[in-house]
Amino acid sequence: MVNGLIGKSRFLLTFSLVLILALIVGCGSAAPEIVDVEVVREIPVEVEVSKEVVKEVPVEIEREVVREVPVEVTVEKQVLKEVTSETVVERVVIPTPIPVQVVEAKAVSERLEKVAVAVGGQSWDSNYSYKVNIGGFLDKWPVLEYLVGVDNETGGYTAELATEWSIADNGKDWTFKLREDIPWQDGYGEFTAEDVRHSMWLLVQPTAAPSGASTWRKIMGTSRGDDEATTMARAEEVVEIVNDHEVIIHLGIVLPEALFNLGKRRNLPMESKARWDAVGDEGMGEKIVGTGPMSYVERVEGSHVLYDAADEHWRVVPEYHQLEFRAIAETQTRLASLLTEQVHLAVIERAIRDEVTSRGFEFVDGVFPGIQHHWTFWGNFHTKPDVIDPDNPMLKKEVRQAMAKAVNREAIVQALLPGAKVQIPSYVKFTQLDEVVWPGLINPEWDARWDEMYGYDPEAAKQLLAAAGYPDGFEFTLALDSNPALPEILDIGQAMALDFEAIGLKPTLANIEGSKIRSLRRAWDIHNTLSGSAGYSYTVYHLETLFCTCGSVRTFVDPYLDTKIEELNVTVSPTERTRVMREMGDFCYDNFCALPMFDIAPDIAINPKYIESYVFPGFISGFYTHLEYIETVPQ
Amino acid sequence: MQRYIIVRLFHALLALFAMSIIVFSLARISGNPMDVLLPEDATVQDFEIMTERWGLDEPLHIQYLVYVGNVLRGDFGTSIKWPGRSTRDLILARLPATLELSALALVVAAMLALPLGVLVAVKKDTGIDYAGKVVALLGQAAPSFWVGIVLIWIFAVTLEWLPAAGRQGLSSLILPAFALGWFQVAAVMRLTRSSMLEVLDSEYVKLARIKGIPNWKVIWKHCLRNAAIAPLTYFGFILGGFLTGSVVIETVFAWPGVGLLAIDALRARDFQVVQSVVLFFGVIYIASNLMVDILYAYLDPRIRYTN
Amino acid sequence: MANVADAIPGSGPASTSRVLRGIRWARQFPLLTIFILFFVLLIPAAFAEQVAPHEPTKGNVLERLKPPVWVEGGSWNNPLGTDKLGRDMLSRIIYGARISLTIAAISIVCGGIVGTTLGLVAGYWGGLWDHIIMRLVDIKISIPSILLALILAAALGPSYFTVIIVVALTLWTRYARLVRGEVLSLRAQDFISRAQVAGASTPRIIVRHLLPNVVNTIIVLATLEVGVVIILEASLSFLGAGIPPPNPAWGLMVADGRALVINAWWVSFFPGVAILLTVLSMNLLGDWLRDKLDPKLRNV
Repeated sequence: MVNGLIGKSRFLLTFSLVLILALIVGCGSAAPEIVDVEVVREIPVEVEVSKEVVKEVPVEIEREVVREVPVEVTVEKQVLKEVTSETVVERVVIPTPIPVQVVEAKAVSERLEKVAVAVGGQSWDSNYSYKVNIGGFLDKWPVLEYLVGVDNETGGYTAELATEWSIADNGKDWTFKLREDIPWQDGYGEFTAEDVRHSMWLLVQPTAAPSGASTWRKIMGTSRGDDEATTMARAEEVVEIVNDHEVIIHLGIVLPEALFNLGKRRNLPMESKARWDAVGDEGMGEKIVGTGPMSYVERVEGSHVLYDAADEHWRVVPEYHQLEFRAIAETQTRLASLLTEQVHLAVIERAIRDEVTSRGFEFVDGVFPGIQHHWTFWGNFHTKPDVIDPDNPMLKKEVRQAMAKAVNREAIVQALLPGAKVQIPSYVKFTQLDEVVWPGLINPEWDARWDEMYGYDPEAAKQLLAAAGYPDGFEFTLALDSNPALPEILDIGQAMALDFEAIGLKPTLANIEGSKIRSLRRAWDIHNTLSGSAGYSYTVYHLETLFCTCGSVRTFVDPYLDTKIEELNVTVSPTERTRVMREMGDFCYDNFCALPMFDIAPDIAINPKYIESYVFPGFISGFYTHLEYIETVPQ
Repeated sequence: MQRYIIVRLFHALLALFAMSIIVFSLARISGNPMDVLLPEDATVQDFEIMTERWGLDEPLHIQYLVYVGNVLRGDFGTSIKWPGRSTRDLILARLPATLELSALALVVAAMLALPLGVLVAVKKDTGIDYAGKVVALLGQAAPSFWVGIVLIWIFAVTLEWLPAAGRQGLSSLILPAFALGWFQVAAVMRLTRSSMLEVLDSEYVKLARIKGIPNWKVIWKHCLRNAAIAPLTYFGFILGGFLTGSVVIETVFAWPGVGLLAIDALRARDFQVVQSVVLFFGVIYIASNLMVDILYAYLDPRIRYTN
Repeated sequence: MANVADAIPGSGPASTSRVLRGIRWARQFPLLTIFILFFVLLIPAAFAEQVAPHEPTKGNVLERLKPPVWVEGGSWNNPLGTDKLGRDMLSRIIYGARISLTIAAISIVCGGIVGTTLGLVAGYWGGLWDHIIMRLVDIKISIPSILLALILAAALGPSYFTVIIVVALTLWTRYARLVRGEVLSLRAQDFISRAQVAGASTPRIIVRHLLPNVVNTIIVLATLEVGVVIILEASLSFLGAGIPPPNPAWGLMVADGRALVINAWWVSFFPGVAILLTVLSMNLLGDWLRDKLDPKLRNV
């Protein structure tokens, strides 16, 4: 598997990814709606423009076969009334909803009594959806549903609680038609437009601390520290309720990518307003109540969370009666629980994958390599001359390139991640998945020049070091910290240290916790240090976080990148946005802003005696989504 | 006697007070919980606002006074990692798990250590003496997480007698209790052995032997009864050992007790919970030692006077 | 203790043959322990550069998880196999002895000096000093050492130095308590008061009269503590607050290799055996020393 995915087979891989992408884009019902958005440029000329209206003819296409989608193009002419500006027509790819996967219920007697999932403990052990970040959603997904879901096989946007959506010409107003007759659990009435407004408000009200908090505030036009009344007033303006089952969301910013934010991927779970009115903030912590196919039974902190599967649900009736998440921090104990059939799915270290397989268990990979792994050269604060440490060798581009070329990614993957679904090359914060949203985001040059720029070549690395003035290498800190998305990172770091030593560098390994690095980087006080990270990636969200002085992580900042972020924030047109981001990507690629390692799919071990199949997309942080669709083996 | 108890109580309070200062300052030095709590894209402003909201921007001594004031009113603070949960409720919810584990571990330790201690004392300097010591020491000679994992592999995976992890019924209690208890066997056995040796050497045992009472009866009835007092006074230490050991053992066996809570809280820099757990462990430890001391003072008048 | 006399060679009954006497002597003296300590641990550790076949922190990931020589696939190049990064297990264990024993030695010496001093002060001067020191001991003991260590590691950052501090902090209380007890009972004896009457200075009394009398206790305790230190270090590694990699500390090796039990048992087994042997032999040695030097000492 590994061999097939790395090295020479890169072409094949890219090709197959393109195929997958094409599937997502081209798949029958998944075909995107291509909407034209008028983008206003301030040129005071009166013009006549022609508008291309692209309509698709719906065609039934089988999953594996990619066919061209026939389109009709009609040209309409219109005279613009606004004479003080030029209007350019841009294409926005708005994925139309994939119908949600509706699964017929198995006979009650054929269902499995219980499916237990062993996870390494949760970063959050709480029933609150809006006080935890997306890493704490593993145990919310069975209960909470979203306007826009994610298809577990294609990764496309599904019509979960919204049946249709469309974007207005200004690029800001999104209309959602809501599914009808969806009851809330515990008798809180039916799901309506009020709940959508409430759910969006929950994420910006004073007690909230969700993932992407700053994006949410931008979307809602609020600021941190706004009180309940202010945020409520904003929510009423932002979410216009047309009727009980239709809302128009007036975003505070132009966001052609909004489906990402308003759905499962960036986590806008639907919570009941009636429930909030009844129990208030405190009561929300008592349990999780949603519209999903499972209902909350109990949470024993530090131990487990238990759910009952519904006997009736519009979307899916699970093939089991109960679902349990068990927090087992120790990896050996998790393995033992799987072997003794105490649990049916377990997160197991990749290093022992083969042995677990040989004992009759199977590993399921996420459909996509959703975890991106890279290392940061700390100290590259080029917009802050006063905080830069001039003696930091990592300020030199040649040094960064030398370190990037010193690492034998293929060998590390082969040795430490046997059997895992891995993709090399990897471009920091630019993934193939993002190409779905922004076609043309990834520069084909990157792949073509990979070997020359980043490929493993210790000799070239030594020469680069010598050219940079470090023929004898230098000392630096290699920070090791455990990472729930990639527990092997501790070994990878040590293996990289060996590679660095091979070109004459002198790494000092140190266990430095992520929180320590956060506090250091906040003070711009981390230099000559290499630290690893692994996690879910989404370009537009991460570029600002990682590569802007205004961001919060600030791994590499540069005046050029700052101006690009500014440009991005005022750029309306989607193709222009793609261009700006790609230019940032070019800069980072050419300047070795980070040390890319690989993209890898999350995986989970299953017991095939009980679990027939489990398909999960693998790019949603927290990873193990769509457990309700597990197919079980009748006992 | 009353005066003695009052003095001891005063000392205990003083110790608790000093301990709270130490733990409080250490926990604060160890980092800001907002670095763990806030999402990755939180801005510096977010960080500052949240830090202020939790009162973490105040000078340390002010924070401490606020904390002590709250504790004296019975408010141990709100958890940072477990949103909306009071640390007192968190600890109380986890307490039964740790207590039942410690109780059974105590039984295991006593059942192993007392007979072993007697045996090795009687068979002093023979092969049995060494063998007994080695058995007792084995629990201490390997890291307890390792002992735990080995027990899981033998009794859960290979023999399939007991569940591997979790807290589900009595059967799941056996392995962690054994792993926890075994660690203390060596210490208790040593105590038993040396007090047994002393007792075996005493006049009344010699007298009992001269009177023709069977050897086993002398040993198991007369000697053990007297020799067991020493290990029993060690009870406080053993309990302290269990609380410390529970941190590792509860992690290995996914046992949702106070030790696991402490680790989770510490990783998240949830000071509120960390300092409350340590304070709580301290209270248990000091209280149990106080009780032992007072009992002792009742039994042995000399102690009263020297203090 | 009647048996003490038996321990001295040649003092046994005259009728016993030489062989029997030798056996009895050997039985009482933990010969095996000494043998293990010296030939398996100390000597290789001292001459690690000469003895170890490879560098302990160097390796090649492509050579990873090679089994020991007697298992199929093993070779003499790595007699005990390699770990998950392709580092030689034997070399790591040999160098690891150095790290683990150094940590034990430094922290025991530090903890011992601090604890003994405080114990002497508390026992000799008594009164307020005694109260303060004993309350300090109470405070220290009532904070679970693992938690204290983790908090400290979080504050200082995990390192060699942190582990030593943490361990020394855990150990000093036992010395303080024991030494104080000893001193209290010694002070009541005649020879101290005679020395005082004779006009000996306090430092002289402490150094010449008290210390020699508590030194046995300290030695026995120190021997028994070696195991405690090694186990504590391992537990810290397990919880992620121990010696940072790639140092070949035994505890770290066991903790690191535990995930591979199913496919590469040797990665955690051999360092585990090294720990087991060391702790067992040091404890047996300590027990033997106690019986010989200080039979009254029981509270350790």
